[in-house]
Amino acid sequence: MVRKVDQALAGLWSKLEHLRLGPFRQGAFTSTLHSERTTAYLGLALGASFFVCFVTGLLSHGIQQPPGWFLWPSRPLSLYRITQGIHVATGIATVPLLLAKLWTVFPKLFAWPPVENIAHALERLSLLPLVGGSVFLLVSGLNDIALWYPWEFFFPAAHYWAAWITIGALIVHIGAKASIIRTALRREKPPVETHAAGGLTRRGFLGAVAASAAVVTVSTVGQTVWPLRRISVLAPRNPEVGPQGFPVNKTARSAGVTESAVDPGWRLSVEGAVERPLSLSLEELQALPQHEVSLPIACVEGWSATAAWVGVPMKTLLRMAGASQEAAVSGESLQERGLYRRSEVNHLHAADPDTLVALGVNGEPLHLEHGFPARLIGPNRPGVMQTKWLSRLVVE
Amino acid sequence: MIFGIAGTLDEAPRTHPANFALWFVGSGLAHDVLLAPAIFVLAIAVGRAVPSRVRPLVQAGLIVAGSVTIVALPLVLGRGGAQGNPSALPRNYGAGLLIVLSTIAVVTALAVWRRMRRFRVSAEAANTPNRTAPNHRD
Repeated sequence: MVRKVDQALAGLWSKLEHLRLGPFRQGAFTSTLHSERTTAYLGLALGASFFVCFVTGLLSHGIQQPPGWFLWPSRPLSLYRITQGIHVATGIATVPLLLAKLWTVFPKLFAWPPVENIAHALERLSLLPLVGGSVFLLVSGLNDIALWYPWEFFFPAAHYWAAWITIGALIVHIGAKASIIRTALRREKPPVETHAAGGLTRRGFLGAVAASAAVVTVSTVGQTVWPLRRISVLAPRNPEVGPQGFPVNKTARSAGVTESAVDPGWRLSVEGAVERPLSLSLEELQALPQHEVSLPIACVEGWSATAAWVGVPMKTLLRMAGASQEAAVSGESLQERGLYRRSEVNHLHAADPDTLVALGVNGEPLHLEHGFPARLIGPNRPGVMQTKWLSRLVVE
Repeated sequence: MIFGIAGTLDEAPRTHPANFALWFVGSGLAHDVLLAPAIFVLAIAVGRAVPSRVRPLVQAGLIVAGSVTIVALPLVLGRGGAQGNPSALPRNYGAGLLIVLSTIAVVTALAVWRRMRRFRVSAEAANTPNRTAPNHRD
């Protein structure tokens, strides 16, 4: 039955031979760069970059929405800033790699006959989620760091699920191409690398792609890598620009807290699984022993900045309220709506002496934009979880 | 893959599956139907307009310039940030892109000039009666 389908198809294509125009013509694409070897090299680089992005991205997701068994530690204090910085920088560098790879295989889009048999059809179809997904991940990621959301979906969810779809398609793709990759990389290099029409050689092409990755990286990574902060003219943030010397993401106005945060009746309540629920005013918090620590704000968008925080350790408040030292805590904001109005502090973080209810930063009381009157700050946590405009700590 | 699709549908209120699918498929289509053909047209134009001895340099320069432009596009088109938050997207990204592109253009131009000079010098040497001109690849 299968052979009959194959024969029917072959018959069909031979009848449609006159449709073989333009890019469908044999030899329409003349560049020798459309070679399996070039494609294989780029594929290796892409495989590596997608792997790095997948792992770091999965980690970032897991920290924010931990599956039951996952316990993210509070040390090393800078680990998240590094992994998320790598995630964003690698994603940006992948743009020229992906475009180059797609260019080298573009002639295959016009392969003739378009469908040889069922297996061939399935293989070609499986490229839809791969190409669509890869481009979507990069486009959505670039848009996210540029804070431009011309779509309806919630970016973190869409980006996360698209990653799973794409990685699945990538594994299928590598499996399908494994033998081609092996032969393409093993074949002996031609001795003289010239191009008939005087264009880039393979080495030149790959060099240009590598240079592109380097240039886009240097132009943007200064939002994560402090010494490059002035050179990176295309970085979406400058880590030293913002109130009190570092950037703001969510503003007080957009969180709707401009009045509630400056209300003199504000109290921080500590409740839940405690013996003595607390309700502390700003003055009462300031009267408690303060702890000072330098910690980074590490945003999911890849940028990070270090600041000197002062405040009351969460440990102290838990002890005052008579809570278990093994307890996890949920921090809630004055912000009434939104996914990030609340964050989980697992018991490792809650017990860490550097996890603070911060009242001041860089020598001043917290700016309204940075969470006045109090915010959560702790080592090794994503910025979205360093809840601003704290109103409640609920012990679990 | 199935896990990803299931998850997308499962979190439908957040993922808006129809809009998500539009963007997912649309991204691939936009590349195949718009971007890639545009690159090919440009490549053909370069093939016709640029002398072969410096074509690789110009191509390399365009590859780097194109990559940076694409990465900078969302920043330059600048629909984001600026909602009362001066620390978000604090730079002039149009100017920044111009700086990077100009640098690429200057570097490429210098390389082109060097290669054309070297060719001219070799050509002159080859035309002299003394036929011991060095072997040059062209």
